[in-house]
Amino acid sequence: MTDVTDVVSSDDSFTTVRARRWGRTRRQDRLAQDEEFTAFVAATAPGLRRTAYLMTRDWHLAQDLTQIALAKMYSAWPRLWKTANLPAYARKVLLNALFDQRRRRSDGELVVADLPDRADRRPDDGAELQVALLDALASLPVRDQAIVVLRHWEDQSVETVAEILGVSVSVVKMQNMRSLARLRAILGEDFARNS
Amino acid sequence: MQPDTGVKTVDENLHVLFERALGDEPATPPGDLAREAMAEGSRLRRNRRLLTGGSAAAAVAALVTIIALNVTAPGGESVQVAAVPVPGATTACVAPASRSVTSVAIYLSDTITDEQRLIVQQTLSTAPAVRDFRYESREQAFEKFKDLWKDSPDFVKSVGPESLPESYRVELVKPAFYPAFVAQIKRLRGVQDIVGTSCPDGAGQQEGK
Repeated sequence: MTDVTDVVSSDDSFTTVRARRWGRTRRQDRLAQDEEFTAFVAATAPGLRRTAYLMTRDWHLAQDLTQIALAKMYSAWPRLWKTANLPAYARKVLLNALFDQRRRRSDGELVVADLPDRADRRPDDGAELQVALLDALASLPVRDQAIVVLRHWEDQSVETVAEILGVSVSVVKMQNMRSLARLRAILGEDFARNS
Repeated sequence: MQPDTGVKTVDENLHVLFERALGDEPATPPGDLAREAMAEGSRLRRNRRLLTGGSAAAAVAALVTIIALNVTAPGGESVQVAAVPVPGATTACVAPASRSVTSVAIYLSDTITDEQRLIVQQTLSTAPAVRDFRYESREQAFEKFKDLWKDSPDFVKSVGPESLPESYRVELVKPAFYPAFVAQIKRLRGVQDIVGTSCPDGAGQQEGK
């Protein structure tokens, strides 16, 4: 059994050296990564939260979704942090969190489109138009909401939106046109003239 | 901006309306957000690692059962990563070794993706030089490490599973296959380090404890 003990002790030193080496380089690496992540959060979180708000009309939920998206990003950060298109990727993660949340919510309740109701009370006052806009937006399918917000709030290119949502460029163009037509129908001509 | 369909100019006021809709935005402390995301993100990472480690180990276990029932199981836990030559110990394993290598530890990179790990696993399961292999997760490596260092709890405390790499433990059909095997494996992405262990006859089959 002495042989076995020798083997165990030789394993010790090897594993120890390895563990120390890994520990050291990993600590330095992690520090740099965490700094980058903090900077990334500072630069990206406000935009994510606004986009989520426009789609949810709920600042708390928008904050939660942003938090979920950022945590997911951090969990893959060692692989992500040196990739180029982080802002677009962050939107993809955020929207997936939002779609998930919608799916979970709609599992329990029947979502009735409130389109006719909204159309009945068209805004006659310009100050309320932005509220009516978010309500009208909420009546669209969630992916179409995303297209409208990414295109017309974030000013993302059709190609970037297509990439974020994982659909083709022509789908983005088509759905965007349909969505705008629908918003116009709900909001009336005020929408086109206002501001 | 990319060339557009022209819809955008018609609805330029959308941007203005969105901006107004954001008028009641509440303030948030940005420092907390990053810290909380890091804490939650680390938790997600740990869970995922446990999950992949578990399923890979299960897959390897299944494989071992199918192909290697008649083959002696890989040697005792600790003999596989022996590092320093042990003079006079005839049955001890030597690692790193480049001659008479019978078993190989393939350490995976810290940033390996699930896909890359799968490719390594598939390569191992089809490589003719491989008699048998198994996956060792960070947790398993740490368990081993804790056991080896049970007399130095402080040192164990300073390490943690994340300090140890995941690895595949491979038994070769015969030592002559080692150079070609290394050449094949080191090309794979996500492989950090390959360490050969030379075990004289019988050493690999001893129980390590």
